[in-house]
Amino acid sequence: MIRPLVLAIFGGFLLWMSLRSLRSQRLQERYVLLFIATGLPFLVLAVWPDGIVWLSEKMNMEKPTLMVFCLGSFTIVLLLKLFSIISVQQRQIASLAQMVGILTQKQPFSPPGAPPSGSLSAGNFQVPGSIPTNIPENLSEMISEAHQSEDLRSESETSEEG
Amino acid sequence: MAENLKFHKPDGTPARCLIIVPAFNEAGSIAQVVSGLHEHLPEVDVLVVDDGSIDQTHAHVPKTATVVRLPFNLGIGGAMQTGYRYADMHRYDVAVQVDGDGQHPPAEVSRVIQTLLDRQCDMIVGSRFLEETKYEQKISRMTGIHLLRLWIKLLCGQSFSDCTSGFRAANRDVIKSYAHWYPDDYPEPEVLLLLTRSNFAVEEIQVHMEQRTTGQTSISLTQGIFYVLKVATALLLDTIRNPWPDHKGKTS
Repeated sequence: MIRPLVLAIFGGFLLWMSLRSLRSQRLQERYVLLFIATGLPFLVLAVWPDGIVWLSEKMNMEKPTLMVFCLGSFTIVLLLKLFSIISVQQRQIASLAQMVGILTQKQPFSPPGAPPSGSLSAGNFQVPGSIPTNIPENLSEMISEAHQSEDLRSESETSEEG
Repeated sequence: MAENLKFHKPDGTPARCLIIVPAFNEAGSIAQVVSGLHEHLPEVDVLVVDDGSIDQTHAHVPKTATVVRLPFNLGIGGAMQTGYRYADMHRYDVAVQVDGDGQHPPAEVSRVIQTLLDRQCDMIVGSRFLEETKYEQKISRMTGIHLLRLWIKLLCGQSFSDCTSGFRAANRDVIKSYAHWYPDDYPEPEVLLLLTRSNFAVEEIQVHMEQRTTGQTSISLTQGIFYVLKVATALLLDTIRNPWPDHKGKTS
């Protein structure tokens, strides 16, 4: 009796956590689906404990524990997927930080009539292929403040739900 | 003393050069480094990449240099790529990396640039160990450099006497490639392997370097033991990478 209960609690907890994260916009739909796919088998096994035996017989596996191992390996694939997402996003964040730094650069003072080679006027920087944009000098601070307010907003939403 | 040099490409047109100075908490030395560069090379633009310093490094940079302040610390790889992206966006012909801690004498920069242009290679590395010098290094560090030198030679067939040197000049092709992709963790030895495997022409010249006096080294002593193993593994993984597929190599 204990085993189905544990499976049901764990599977239900995974589903509840993923749906709660979706509601509070901390998890995107595509990742919620992954966690639903991870949590549902636990619920299925809770109401149908012999399911693992049935599945292992269908797969011609000698021992049902091998089937459990196969299902567990899904988690490893999931981790690989998540780490690849993190790696891509880390590179994107670094790229974004680099562009913020370049766009908010401080130019050297130009002597009259002789601008330093390759430099553009401060506050009117143009990326090749884009339209001229006036970039505020305190953009870095503005982005930092925006992040802080975003974090505060997320925290307040979470506390409201609780 | 100002050399008042103007560099020229092989076709005689002026070569636009940029000196990239990555700086992380280098408030004690950055002003002297930038002033020295401007004194020796008044024709060359200087870009300081302040890699999220917390000691107001940017405030100590002389007004003659351009400062790019990163909103947070990206590490040496991210800081240098910022400089190369800037160089690519502003169409510089040559970009030289000079450390912000004062190790790389400004007087040697012009020689590195001129050698790059004269030899028409893709990158020149300023080496401390190509010839016998009085530059002092700890035995453990020298052993590590020698091991990495052998490892790189085994993986790409070319030997580099100073694979950890950050004093290097790159031409337009390399600038564009770096702007597209640059290693994060151990960029100095990694790019030597990657550039060589991508058929870029990389050469070394002997340079004089000062002993480090201020700031903190990017690799702490406690990490030194694992540094060689980590870099060796990273280099091994680099052999299956092809970050610059568009570069087909120079036609002979």
